[in-house]
Amino acid sequence: MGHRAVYVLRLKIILPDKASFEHTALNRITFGARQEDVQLVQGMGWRAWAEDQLSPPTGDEAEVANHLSKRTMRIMYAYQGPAGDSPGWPGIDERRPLNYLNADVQSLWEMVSKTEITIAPNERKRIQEELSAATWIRNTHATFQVREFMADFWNNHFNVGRQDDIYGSAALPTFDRSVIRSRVFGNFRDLLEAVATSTAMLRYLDNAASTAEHPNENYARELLELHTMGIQAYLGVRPNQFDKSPDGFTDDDIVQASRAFSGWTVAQGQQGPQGPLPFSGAFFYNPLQHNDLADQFMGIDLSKIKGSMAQGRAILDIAASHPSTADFVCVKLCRRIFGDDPPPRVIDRAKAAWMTHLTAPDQIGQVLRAILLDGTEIGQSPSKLRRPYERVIALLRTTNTEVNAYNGAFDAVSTLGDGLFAWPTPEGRPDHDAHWYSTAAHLETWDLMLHVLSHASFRTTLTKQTPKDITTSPEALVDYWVDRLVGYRLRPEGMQALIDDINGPIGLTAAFASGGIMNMESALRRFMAIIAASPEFAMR
Amino acid sequence: MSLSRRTLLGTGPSAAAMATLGPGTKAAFSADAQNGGRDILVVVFLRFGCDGLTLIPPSNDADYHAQRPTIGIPASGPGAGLPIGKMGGTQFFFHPSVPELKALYDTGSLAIVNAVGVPTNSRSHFDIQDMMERGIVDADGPLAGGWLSRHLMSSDIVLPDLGAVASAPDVHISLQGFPGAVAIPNVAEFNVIGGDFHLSVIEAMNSGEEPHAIAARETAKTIRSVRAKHARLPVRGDDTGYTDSQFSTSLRSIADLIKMDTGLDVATVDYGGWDHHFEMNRYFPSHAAEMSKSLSAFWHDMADYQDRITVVAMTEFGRRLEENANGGTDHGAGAFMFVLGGAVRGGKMYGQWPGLKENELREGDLRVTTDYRQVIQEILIKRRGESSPQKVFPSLAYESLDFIAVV
Repeated sequence: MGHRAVYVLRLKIILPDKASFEHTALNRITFGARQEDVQLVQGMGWRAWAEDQLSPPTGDEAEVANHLSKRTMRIMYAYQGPAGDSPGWPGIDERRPLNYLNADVQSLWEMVSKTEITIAPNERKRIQEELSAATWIRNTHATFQVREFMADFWNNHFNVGRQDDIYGSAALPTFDRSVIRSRVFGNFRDLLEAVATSTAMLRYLDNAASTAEHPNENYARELLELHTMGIQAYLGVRPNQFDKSPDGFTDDDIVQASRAFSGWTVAQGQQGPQGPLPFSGAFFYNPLQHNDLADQFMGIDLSKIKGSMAQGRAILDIAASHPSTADFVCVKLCRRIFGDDPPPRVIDRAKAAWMTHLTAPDQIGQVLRAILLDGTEIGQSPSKLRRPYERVIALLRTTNTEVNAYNGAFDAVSTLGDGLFAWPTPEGRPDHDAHWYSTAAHLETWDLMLHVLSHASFRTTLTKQTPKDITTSPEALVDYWVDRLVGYRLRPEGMQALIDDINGPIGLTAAFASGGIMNMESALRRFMAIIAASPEFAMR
Repeated sequence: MSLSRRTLLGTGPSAAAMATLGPGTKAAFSADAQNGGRDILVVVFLRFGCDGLTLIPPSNDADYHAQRPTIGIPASGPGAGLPIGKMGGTQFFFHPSVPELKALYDTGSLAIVNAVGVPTNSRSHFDIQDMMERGIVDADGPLAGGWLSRHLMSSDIVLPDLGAVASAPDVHISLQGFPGAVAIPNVAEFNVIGGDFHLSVIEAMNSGEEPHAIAARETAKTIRSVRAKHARLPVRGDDTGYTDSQFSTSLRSIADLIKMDTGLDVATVDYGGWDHHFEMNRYFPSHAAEMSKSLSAFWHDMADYQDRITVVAMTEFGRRLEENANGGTDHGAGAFMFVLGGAVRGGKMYGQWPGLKENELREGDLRVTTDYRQVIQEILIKRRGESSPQKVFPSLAYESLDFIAVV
């Protein structure tokens, strides 16, 4: 009897009907809750876990850094002989470490400037591929998942995506590393200025090219419309210069801001006050490019503000502390966490924390505390559709798959409109569920999950992970893997569909009966992709 | 709101009811059983502010060249525009990189509406694209869905599975609110790995009534239907004129759907990338050439269907008259629209040219003298049997520009 009881206990997985608080909370603010994560939080408590997450080490944790240093990615291009002014370059086909990932802007600019002369153009494309590879690896393997979640949020909020600007794109690793990642829990005003002075953003929104004669309005407009107060605070073209409302901004405010920010540029060989600037890509305030005709901006007189960069900084002060900014950014963050209709009480708490901690060095961390800890909404039933990329990373995490660097997967996600550092326009990718309900998005997401798990760059051994004593029981197989991937029971039709699939012509039963390890492994990988196509897995 | 296109599932009228359209509307378009006599409508959105003053420049205008010393398109000499005729005394040209569009214009298929746009106070891409897709102007309150979906629903048009298609990764806002609108970026590659085995289990798991499950089931159904019908299409020759761009792929996919005879009724497609704040001389020509080649290839591919297709192309705004310091242009107002169709009185420009003198501009921008909704409205009334235009554009009084002849 005793022997039998143990056997039954091992065979029977207790699959709950609903997700636990910890499971849902983790799914909301990470790239996917694994069983060991849930157990960890149940052990130490949600608050202690969250506090730990909000104080990550500087830079990558040792395990991730180690992982990144070992990963290689194939690069391949053909020999190019001398042509015109170009001496050409050697052909290459090798697996190479992610060498560009930690390179600074200046050295990458130097490399990029030689492409199509002595260096193959694939090398500059490689910069962004390495950054994507590293992001897949970090999102999947990092212990400090909330930092990953927030890096993803801020990179999209301050989207830099112009692929045709080779110098702007070359500045992306530095943007991600030194501007975004180091400030994910920091102060918004500080983050805003770091973005405003970053090579990537200055190139992307043309402020680097602004001149005293004709300030370029692109950055100034998107600063107010997308980065801070939001489109809701835009009052349009107000011909009456005296009818200025501090409640929002007009087109004239944008013109004034473009003047204030003119001169915020990068050193790219143009004329500076002491002669030509180096071609380094470094931030430079160039008085020769500054237009000093700015006057009224949202109720303040910029003409009275003197000193290099002072006008631009005054605008950043106003924008960062404006209540519309608290509203716009907090609602956006809550939508990222909770879905299309975040609980109003959470939004209110987030906005209050934002305004209370306006000047605190950990302002964003305080906002997250208000969202995650001052209330229990975070652990209540799933309400947000995982976007395709999130679904893939959650699948990799819950199947204990090791991510290597593989371009094909990045391309597949990009085709779906969910590529990293690839959204072309400054508003970033949309973040409402219906955006991913289209036929094409469904189809390509299903394909993507199968594609990723079938590729050799993603290493896992599902056969070893499947307990031996359940391989002959379709019910136990379904319970075990649904527990791993989803954490709670699918609707009855879903559970039955999985059992039917296991018993079907290309199902797990036939594969296990064959005894061939390759058969079993590929059948299991297909089965994981199918569970990941369930509506339960799709939600967090 | 965001789920409206799934929650608005309702009962439409019978096909018999559709066949009995009023005599006034019936006379206006050619009878065709497939679409209840309506033209197939293809809506092209040239996103991020395509500059009409470069695409269709008034190259003899001294004010134009004064404000655009480095990017103005000359009337003669190297890089000269292709002359196409006058409007309000001003001579216009096509940009030299769009000879295919000029050919469509010269043969009378393509009409231009000039100085058209959204009556708005905004110069934001995002604001105005949204307004144009919803079919509203500044003064309007919130309206349900996009203008295309309101049009389809105002006439109680019932469509088959592949009747309303966004040739894109996502259903465009203009079509949102219409139940059954689907996104098919490329019909030739529309299948899931694993085929039927995969589809069956996915369908069974997604048996619920939440939006995600409904959408997943619709996807599975659409895939099956597309695969079956696409397999029967004849293969094209090599000289179709389509390029390998995304825009060409999207248009070719629409052409395939039309040839598949599935009852395609409305299709939407994007061609973005017009935000030329920077070095227009370098970036604009190839971008415009791509549009020109792709539209022309589509039109010729549709030779057997031209008498029952109307294509309308729009952009959210034209660009500031004065060029900026980077050889680019900032956001402006008045733009252009294209109407391409068998019933279009092409080879002509419509609307009113307000001029480019300082006092003729609005805050440095070409004025909007024609409301973009007038253009759409004329197409809907004359080629799509729209009998309740006030349901599509509630605050608009109908005025015909007469770019489509009344039969």
